This record gives sequence, C-alpha cells and structure tokens, in this order.
Amino acid sequence: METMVRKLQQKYKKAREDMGKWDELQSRLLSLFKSATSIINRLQVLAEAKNYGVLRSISGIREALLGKQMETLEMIFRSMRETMKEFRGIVLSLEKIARDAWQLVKGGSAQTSKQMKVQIGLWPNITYCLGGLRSIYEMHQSEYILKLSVVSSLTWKCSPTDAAAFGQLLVDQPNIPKDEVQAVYDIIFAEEIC
Amino acid sequence: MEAEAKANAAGTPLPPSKVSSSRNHNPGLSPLPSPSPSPTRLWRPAAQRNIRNQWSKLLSSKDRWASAASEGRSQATSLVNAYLSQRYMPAMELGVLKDMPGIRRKACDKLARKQETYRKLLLSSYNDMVLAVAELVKSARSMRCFLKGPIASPLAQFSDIPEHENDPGDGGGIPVFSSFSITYFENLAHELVEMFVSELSLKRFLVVELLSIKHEEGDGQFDRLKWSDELYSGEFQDLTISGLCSEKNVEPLLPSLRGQQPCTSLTTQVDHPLSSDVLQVYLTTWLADCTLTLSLTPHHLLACDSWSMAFPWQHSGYGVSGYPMPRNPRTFPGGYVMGTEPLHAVAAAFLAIASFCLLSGSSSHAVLQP
Repeated sequence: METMVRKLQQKYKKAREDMGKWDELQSRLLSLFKSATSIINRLQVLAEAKNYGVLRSISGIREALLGKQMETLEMIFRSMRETMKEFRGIVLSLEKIARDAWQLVKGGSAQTSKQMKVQIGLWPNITYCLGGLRSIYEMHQSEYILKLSVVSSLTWKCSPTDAAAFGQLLVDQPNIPKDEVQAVYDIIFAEEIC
Repeated sequence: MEAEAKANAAGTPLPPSKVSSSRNHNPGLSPLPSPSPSPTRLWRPAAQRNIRNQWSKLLSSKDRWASAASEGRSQATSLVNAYLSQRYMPAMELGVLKDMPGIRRKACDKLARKQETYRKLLLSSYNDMVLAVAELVKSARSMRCFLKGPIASPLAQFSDIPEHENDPGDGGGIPVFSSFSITYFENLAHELVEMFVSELSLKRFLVVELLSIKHEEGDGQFDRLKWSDELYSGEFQDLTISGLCSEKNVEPLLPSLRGQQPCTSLTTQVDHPLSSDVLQVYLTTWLADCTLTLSLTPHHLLACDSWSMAFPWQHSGYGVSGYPMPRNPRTFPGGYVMGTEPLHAVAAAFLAIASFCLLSGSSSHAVLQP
C-alpha cells in the first residue's frame, strides 16, 4: 500500500514537470499571439495610402511594407503552430502518465476495490491518486483543443476586437483551474506539507 | 585601403566576363597578369584566409547593424510616444492631479526634454548604423588578394593593396573555395551590401522625419530638417564610403525600393501635426526592414513586433512594451502571402556561404589544385 502510493507520487512529480513545461509554452504562445494581434491591428492603418506621410514619395513602399508585415505574420503563425505541436506533446505525456499509473495499480499485487479505497491517516487512497492524474490529463487535453481552435481561427482578416477576445481566451485557460490542480497536489502530498 | 576604396568607388566589382576573357584570350601573351605557378599555389591559401576574414567581418558588421537598428527603433518609439503624450496633454484626464497648479505645463516641459534626449539617442543609433554599413562596404571590397613585393621574388607575400598594375588580385579567376572564384564571392558580398545600403537610405529618411517632429504651441512652422541637411558632422563623409553620397552630388541619394522607380523628389506638403497613424506607419517602416530579405533578420523581426503608442484614451499605454523574445528564433523559408518579392537566393545563401568559408579548411585547396 505505502509503496504503491510512493510510486504514484512519483507519477505526480513527473506530471508537475510537464505542467511546468506547459506554462513555459503558454508564455511563449501568448507573446507570439500578442505580436500577431499587434500586426493584425496595424494592417488597416498600413493599407491606407494617406497614412504614409512623406513616405509616399517612395514608390512601392506601401506594397513592400504590407508584404513585409504579412510575411512576419505568417512567420508568427508558423511558430504558433509549432508551439501547438509541443503542447500536444505534453498532453500525450500526461495521458501516458495517467495510463501508466493505472497499469501500475492493476498489474501490481492485485488490489481489491476495497483496498483501493482504504485511506490510512494522511495518505491518499489509491483510487483518488488515479483519478487525480486522470483529471489533470483531461483538463490539459480539453485546454489543448480550445487553444488549437483559437489559434486556427486567428487570421489576418480578424477584427481587432475578435483578436482581443481570442487573446483573452488564451490567457484565461478556462479548462485548467489552477486551484483545483493545487488541491489535488495538496491531498497527494499531504504528509509532506504537514 | 584608401586607394582601393577609390578604385571601387563606382560600386560594382569587376564583372565576371572581363576576368574570364582576359584569362582565356591571352594566357601566354601577357607577361604579368598570370602569375607564375609558384605564386598561384601560394596565392590560394592567402586568398582563402582573406576571404574567410572578410566574411566574418561582414557577419560582425551585420550584427552591429542589427543591434543599432533595434536600438534606433526603441528610441524612435519612445520619441514618438513622448511627442504624442505631449500633444494629448491638454485633453488628458488627470483625475485628482488636475488641481495641482501648473501640472500640465510641467508635464509638457518634461516630455519636451525627454524628446530631446531621445532625439540625441536616435541620432547616435543612426550614426552607428552608418558606420556599420561603411564597414560592410569596406569588407565587401576587400575580397581580393594581391601579390606583394616583386613578381619574381622567391618569397611570395600577399596584401590587400594592389601593388602591380596588372595584378587583378583574383588569382587570374581560378577557384578559391571549391569551384568559386573571387569574383563570385565579390558579387555575393556586393549584393548583400547593396541591400544594407538601401535600407540605410530608407532609415535616414525616417530619421529626418522623426527628428523633425516637434510640438509647437499654436502649430507654428518651425525649421524642419531637410533631406539635404547633414544630420551629424561628418555624416556625408561616412555616407560617401557606402556610395550614398558622392563628390558630384553632395546630397545623399534618395531611398528607393528594389525593382521600383527611384524616387526623384520629396513630397513636402504633409499635414502637420502628423497623425498618430502616420507615425505608426513610420515606426512600422523602421521595424520592417523593407529592403532586407527575410532570412537575414528573422530574429530581429520576431523580437520586436509589438509596441504600444500613447493615445489620448490610453493613458497607461506609454512606452514600448518589452515583450519577451520567442525562445527559438528560427529561419522560416518560404510562405509568402500577398505578392512579396521572393526571397533572394543570394541573400539566403549568405550565412551558408559565410560558414562555408569559415569551415572549409585546407582540404579544399589540396583537392582543387590546378
């Protein structure tokens, strides 16, 4: 029983590492997104010849500038897609952790369903341990799907307000309630906290 | 160095046809230009060393340019922001502060002083960019390797200054690295440098404009900078090196984009004060490096795509917001939208060539000995 919980705690530590990576990716994605929206917001101004002031005397400047900005935007979109791939990697890894944990319990000294619900002192019961990993995986999985749809709906044709709303969705990460995750960890590592 | 710079002041290196024709037509007839076999053998390592050095110099000058340009960008942004805040000051909602005596005037004074500082900083970044381009041009023109001392001397020495009238410095057009002759590298460098020169011209255009924005009470006309003004003392001399100024016309060449009509005159009638949209376009133009191709500056482009400008309804929006750089700046080939110029192959090859030269060791010349 105790060794099993110890092993599961290791899985939780691994999951925490993955979530750390997730946060790094999140901040990278946000900064890319910010760059993209600032270009998108600028495009309208850049499209108007009257906004070019003295630059108007350089022929072709408007086309060149717009072209450059679109190029940069395309580059940003590309790295956003790359970042999304890395997010997917984390989701897969979290899924594997949850599955491994489940197999660990199944394959180990055949636990009865009663044993799995037994709680001794501060130790969490095994069912809770498995459930926690599962729900952490599910949170990230659904957040990944949300992010993917936000990222793919952002195009250069988006209006500034749309873009701002998309950005807010990305910042909020509505599928990953931080406090819930923390609560799970508090229960799993209860004895360390005390 | 000086003499060579003068000789090449026209800008273009020797066209390849000239070199090859002189080689093909009179191999045995001309007494001097084809060096005796021994100097040729000795010439190649010296030429390789020189080319390697010049390309690494090109690389470091390019970096110097990039850092000067990005500093210039942030100063230009600060300048524009300070200017706009000052302009919007009368309409600004000050909350409890509005009861303080003379608060608006004091704030305006302070913003005006700030602008003065940013103007100076912008000018010094521009100065740095001019010098970086001058370095680029100098290295691009020093690709050749000349025989030093008497021709028949048993001791072959080389320098980058031509000493003999008939010594083209390119080893008679023989390959230096694998199958590439000096002319090839020269053309490559020339093409690269050309882009930076035209970008410098465009940046100068923006500097002139940005230095002229000043907030004047009552919209009075003040002395604006003109294109023909020297921005700092000695500027035109520095610009002569890169070919933007010449002895004939003291005024620097006006900027133009590749494949476009050169700009002949400047539109001077622009509404003053400039709207924030126009200023935003100026800053974007600075940022976008319109004449440089993508592959050279992916990092730079990605790093600074956002700024916030001070708008009357956005009081907190001062200054450049320093977004963190993306972690993995990469080169992205292809992917063009909206009829942009395709990436110039030569520019794309720049880094590859530079590293090729830096990496190819003695093995290449052993194999390719004629």
